[in-house]
Amino acid sequence: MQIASTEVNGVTLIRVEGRMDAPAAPEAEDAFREVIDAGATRVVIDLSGVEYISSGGLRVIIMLMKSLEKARGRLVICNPSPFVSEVFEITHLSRRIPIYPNQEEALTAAAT
Amino acid sequence: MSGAVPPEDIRLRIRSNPRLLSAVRGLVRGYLDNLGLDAEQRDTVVLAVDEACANAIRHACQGRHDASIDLRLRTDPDAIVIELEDQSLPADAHRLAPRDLTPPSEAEPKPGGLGVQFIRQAFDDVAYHSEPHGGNRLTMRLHHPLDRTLRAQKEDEGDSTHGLAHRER
Repeated sequence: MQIASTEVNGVTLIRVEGRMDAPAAPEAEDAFREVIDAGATRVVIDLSGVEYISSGGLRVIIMLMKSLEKARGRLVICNPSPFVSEVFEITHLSRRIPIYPNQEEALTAAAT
Repeated sequence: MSGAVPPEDIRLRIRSNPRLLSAVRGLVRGYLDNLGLDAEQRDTVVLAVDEACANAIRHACQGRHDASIDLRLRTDPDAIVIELEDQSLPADAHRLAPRDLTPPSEAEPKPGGLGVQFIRQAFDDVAYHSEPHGGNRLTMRLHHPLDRTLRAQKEDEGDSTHGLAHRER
């Protein structure tokens, strides 16, 4: 799994590639904590490169979501595959985290 | 489903190492493809089996990587049956209590219980059995009406299947 983050107009854009499963979760958690520790409050996770996600990956996304909510920030997801979208639906996380089909809309939503 | 050929039943023993789970997912995906499941349902079942294995490693094997987990994939006339067995200590009953089978609140999603939620979502019946002195078995059944050809083949294979099961003991 690879994780890279950049800043776009005040929004932290995190791009994840690979599998977000149990073995990959610690690496994702470290990367997300770095983002929080750097003071980010508006975050977009681009999941276009994520081929698989399990509860291990969801746990760190929930952790990030809660940290941002405490900081009165916002988490937005974009570009999930149909499978990843299904996982968010099953867990009802799609009702808590806005999901957009492309990066541009997600960045706009996170910035407002 | 029409024209699908029933795959052989599969029994696989793996070490309780999370890094092996991607290989397990590939095996389960291939097995289900042969049964003609549509991609969406197949992926949901693969995820559930992944979660079941991860739970066994985390809770029953307590994170050890040198325990063994037995995975069995088979078809009954009306169901796909996936069983998971380990010889570790009984999983913490509290983790498998009905409260954990309740979906996390929409208002307050929690990381715990997500794996069980995926399992309940993917399968029609889920049964857990543990032995007091060690050993856990999770049986997950997905109702899957096979067409008449498959039913007939399974019935024809009945005797030899019983023989195989007997020999395996």
